[in-house]
Amino acid sequence: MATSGPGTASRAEIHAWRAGLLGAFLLLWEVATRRAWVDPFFVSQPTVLGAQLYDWIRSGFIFRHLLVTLQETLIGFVLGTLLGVAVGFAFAQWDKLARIFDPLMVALNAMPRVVLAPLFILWFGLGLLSKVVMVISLVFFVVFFSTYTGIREVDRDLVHNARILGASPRHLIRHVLLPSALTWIFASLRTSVGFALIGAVVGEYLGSHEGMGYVISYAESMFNATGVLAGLIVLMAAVIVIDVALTRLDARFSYWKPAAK
Amino acid sequence: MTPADHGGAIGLEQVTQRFALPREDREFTAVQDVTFDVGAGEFVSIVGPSGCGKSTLLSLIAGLAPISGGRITIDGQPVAGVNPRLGFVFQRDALFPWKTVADNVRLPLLFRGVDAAAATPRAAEWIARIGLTGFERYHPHQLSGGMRKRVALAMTMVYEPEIVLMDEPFGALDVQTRNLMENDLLEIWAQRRRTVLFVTHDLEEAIALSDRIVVMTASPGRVKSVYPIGLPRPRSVTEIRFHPDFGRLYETIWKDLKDEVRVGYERTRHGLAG
Repeated sequence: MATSGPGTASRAEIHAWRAGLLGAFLLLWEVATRRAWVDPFFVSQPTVLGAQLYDWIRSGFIFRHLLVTLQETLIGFVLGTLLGVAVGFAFAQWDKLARIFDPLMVALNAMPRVVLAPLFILWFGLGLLSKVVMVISLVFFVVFFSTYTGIREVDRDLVHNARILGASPRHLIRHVLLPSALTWIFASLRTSVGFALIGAVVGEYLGSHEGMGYVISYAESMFNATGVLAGLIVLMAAVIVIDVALTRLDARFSYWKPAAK
Repeated sequence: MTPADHGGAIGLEQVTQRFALPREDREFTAVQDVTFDVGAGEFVSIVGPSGCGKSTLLSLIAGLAPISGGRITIDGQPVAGVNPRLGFVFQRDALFPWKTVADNVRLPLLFRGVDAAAATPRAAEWIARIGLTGFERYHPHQLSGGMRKRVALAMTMVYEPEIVLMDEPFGALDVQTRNLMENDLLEIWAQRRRTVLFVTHDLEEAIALSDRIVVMTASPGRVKSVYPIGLPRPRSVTEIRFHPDFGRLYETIWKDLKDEVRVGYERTRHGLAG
């Protein structure tokens, strides 16, 4: 007999629940605005939102802006990740470096990057560069701390074994430290990709003439709640697509691990 | 003394190892004034209560940690860092989980600069020797504990080290697998006659395998006594137990060992290790 505890729910059942809850939420929203329980001026309306999204897609308007945002996100994400891995490695390898710069890293990481965004725009202009720098400043620290921890947490037995088996320092990095740190780095990439998109959008929001942040900011200045929410939905969809892609990539690199649970 | 083509003699003279315990602001002496020799091609086991510094001795001989006092030599040369002629089988099988069986066994050869074309058949030979042909493309997590241990053994043997240090290598295995592996080890040892220094807390295992047994005291570990094991070879670990001398040896050594085990046990029970 099938039981229906949370532990035994099938995939289809979970999907059905998700779709049902989302449907109920949208229905409630639609009814509440139509019956004027809440003013659609403030919260828009699902059908109006749908029409807006359809219009954006049909005219191609949204793709131009989404492409700009994704471009900034991707460039910043890749550069920030490379930089984070490289510096994390260096810190883990040279203890002195880590001890000298540790307070600086902690202080820099504690700085609210969102507040720095106007400065970045001042320094690097309204275009792509200021957003990429913003994204790097967010991604770098997440990846840096994960890489650093990942390498420091490497199984000591494996390091000893590699040394006994004749590994040179370069062998050690290539065959032990890097593969073992990859697990941590991948875990951090899923967090940092969200940050990357936030960085790009905040940068655009504060100063630019294209991109999703600009679209939202423009809609806001027109008191257009529909435009703001539609922009957010587009961003949400983008994050979900990126996350699925990263999960697949992670699975490819984790072939050597026992299946979870 | 010139190292012959068949070297591998280990000498320990007054070896002492201390660790700082910064939080308690004192030093912990793991082993003290340990002196004994292992001849080239000899199979010697170290037995002693847990925490007596058996493993510490092995990592000192392997050159993994600097020594605080005394001298360790290999074929007359003082140990300075990791020795390429030495192999180490760890208590936990330290396989590289992201590499296949074949890649794991090949790795030490690649580290030593053997090119891939020459390394692959040598690795295949050892994979066959340990009975894992057909499992070359498996990853360690897909293997049983005994299979992983065999891969670890092949990884060590593939580069033909003159000295093999083994730190309770079969401790985590079930008795049947363990006996099979002990026999395998004896067979490999008989063929190649490498020096083996074997750490265990299992006295029966030590007697069945060794030429000599070094009994250590509870912490700080010193050499309490050394027993030659004159049992005939070739041996099978399952059958040698029925040899008339086996019981006598066991009784004599156990009498010596049991006081130390008791001291070690009492100390850890009262949280006074060291």
